[in-house]
Amino acid sequence: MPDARSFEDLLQRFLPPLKRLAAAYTRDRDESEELLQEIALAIWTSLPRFRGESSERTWIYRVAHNTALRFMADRRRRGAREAAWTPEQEPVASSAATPEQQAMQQERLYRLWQAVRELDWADRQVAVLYLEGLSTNEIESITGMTAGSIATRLTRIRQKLTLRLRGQEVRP
Amino acid sequence: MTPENNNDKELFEMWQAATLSDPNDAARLARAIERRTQSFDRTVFWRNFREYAAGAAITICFLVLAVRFPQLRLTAVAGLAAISVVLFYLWRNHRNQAQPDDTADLQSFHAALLARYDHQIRLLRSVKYWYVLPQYLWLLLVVFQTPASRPAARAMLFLLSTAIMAFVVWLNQSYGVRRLQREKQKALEMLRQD
Repeated sequence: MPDARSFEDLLQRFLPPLKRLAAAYTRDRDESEELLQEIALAIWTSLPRFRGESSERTWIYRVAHNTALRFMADRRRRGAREAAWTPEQEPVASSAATPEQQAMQQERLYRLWQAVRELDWADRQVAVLYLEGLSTNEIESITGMTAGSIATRLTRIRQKLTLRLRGQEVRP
Repeated sequence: MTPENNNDKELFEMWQAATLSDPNDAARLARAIERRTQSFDRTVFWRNFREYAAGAAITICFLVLAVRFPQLRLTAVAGLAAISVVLFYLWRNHRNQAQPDDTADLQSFHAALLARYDHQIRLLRSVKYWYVLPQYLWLLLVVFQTPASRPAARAMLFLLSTAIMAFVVWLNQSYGVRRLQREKQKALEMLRQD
């Protein structure tokens, strides 16, 4: 049984990125909260096996992405259909000087999230890790992809995200 | 990773500044997970208890039959043997089945996730050997122990046993395997594209 205190500390530090990760993989808010709980549960059960061979951050993201993958595979298997995220449910931009700026920021943020959710699984994994600021080495260690493959994907992902932010359609 | 240009920097800032409005805080989430784990442990305990209790009840029934009715001793011992084969195979199989490791890299995790389907498919395909055969042999013993003076009952018992076992084989090998193959296909498609 892991130490409850260190588990809570870990969650405290990683909750914002884990919430973003859960939201990036799910189709509505309820599902996102459910996935967040699954991730927390997986961290709790895997914590005794953490030997410090990789960084805490790399380890947490591995567990989180694997849990997301299993969660979505199970949802697919059960044929679950959910309502799509609505702009009101989307993550919100933290601050802006004026209401106009805030509305603009919110619109851009909405486009960014939509663009990330439209990526296929492998690209989405890389995109989420990249946007959280992980290094190529860390992404390599989490995904098991080669550095070359990550670089190619990142080029494609950047193009897609930038186009969507400018309000342009992305060709598949 | 550091942003390569202003555009990347903007993406990073937008993404990382996004906050989700749900009120899940770390302490509340940690408590919910502890409660869930305890409840899960209880569920597993009672499920295991029920399975072992059922196994014990069947064993006692066969033992009582063997002791109190000497003429049924062979049937009872054979029944115990048949059930033991099935339970031993299931227990060994369950013990040897590797669960996908949550801490593995994603590619290894994908492979392990798909291997779970293959494992289940193999299990269903071999059901006729480890599940049906021991029980069918036992049923045949029961059939041949039915008095020869009652040929109609004997024939009926034989046909019924064979039909039930054939249905079990069909259910697992055709329906069950097809369903698992569909699920595996869905998982594969999801890994290729969401």
